[in-house]
Amino acid sequence: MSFINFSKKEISFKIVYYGPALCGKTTNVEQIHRTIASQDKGELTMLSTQQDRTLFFDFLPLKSDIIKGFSSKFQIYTVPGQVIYNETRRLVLRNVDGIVFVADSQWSKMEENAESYANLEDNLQKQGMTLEKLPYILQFNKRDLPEVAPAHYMDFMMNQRTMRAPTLEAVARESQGVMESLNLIAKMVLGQFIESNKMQSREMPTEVVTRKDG
Amino acid sequence: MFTSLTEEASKKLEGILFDLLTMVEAEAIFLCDRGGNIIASKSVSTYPHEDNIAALAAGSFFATLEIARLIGESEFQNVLHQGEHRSVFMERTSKDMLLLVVFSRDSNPGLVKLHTRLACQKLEEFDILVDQCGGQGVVSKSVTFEMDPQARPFKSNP
Repeated sequence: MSFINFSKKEISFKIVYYGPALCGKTTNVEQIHRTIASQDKGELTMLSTQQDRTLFFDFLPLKSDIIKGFSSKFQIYTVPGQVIYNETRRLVLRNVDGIVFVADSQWSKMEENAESYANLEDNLQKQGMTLEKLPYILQFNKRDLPEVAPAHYMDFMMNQRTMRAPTLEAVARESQGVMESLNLIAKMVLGQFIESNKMQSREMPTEVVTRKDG
Repeated sequence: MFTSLTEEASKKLEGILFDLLTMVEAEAIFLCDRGGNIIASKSVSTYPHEDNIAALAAGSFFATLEIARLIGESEFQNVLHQGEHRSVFMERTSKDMLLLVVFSRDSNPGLVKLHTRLACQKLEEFDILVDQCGGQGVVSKSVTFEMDPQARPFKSNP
């Protein structure tokens, strides 16, 4: 859920990288941190196990001036992919504004992709949210590995909704498709925010507006 | 859906946080939501990594609520992390937000707990301050948000 602070002229958004274990969520965020200019990024926080697997979440704050007159803060999170950490995934999804679902392109990982996708839908539903109402994209990662499923096959398997999600191919460890994914989801989140604000403004009674503006 | 804070509300909130900061001689105070967004903050000097602290605090505090549920408690109202030089006290407010106080060993933890509880009660009186959009005119028709459709939100380091 976006948060607007009129005093600071600041709007905050939360984007979550979701997907099965070892699909490259943390690698995406590491590459974003490495790639983005220093004035636009904060410190990357990673809470990992001794085996370098995500235990709680990774967190990276970013700034952008794309909305006129306001500073946009994007809070980038990853979830732990391992099945046992579902409570943590649910916590991280709270108040989410946009999702990048990172799918592992290897044939052997198709079942895990499907399970993680179903888990995402389930966790959103428990918080009264659905993918239909949330900006999200599908990133097909690890395209450089041998024995990967064709992108059109993955699209057919994972993108069956009435509102089809945009898809991108990526090799996160080489930073291919990483910034493209981030910019795409950021613009979708901003677009939905602007649209929903227009709708709210139209529905708002004039007398209330006058009182608050004064 | 989004939450918003008017300038007037922001000033009032910061006033409550400032009173608490001076009363308990804390180093920094953050009010954040469940998602880890900072709603308001006050500190003695510029505090580094505010966003990271808020995100971690919100995550860890709301994780303890799950622990509470699993052991048959309805909730843990507050949590204290006590360090050698600095400590952190977190208390949940009625609006399902988190008040986080960073204080040094010069401050009295008992006093911090007491005054944080009182500050949370004051925050309860300001239920209207942080409202869901569509409530009492929080976002007005005069405010429009625009972005350049061709612009990229984030650019790579040259």
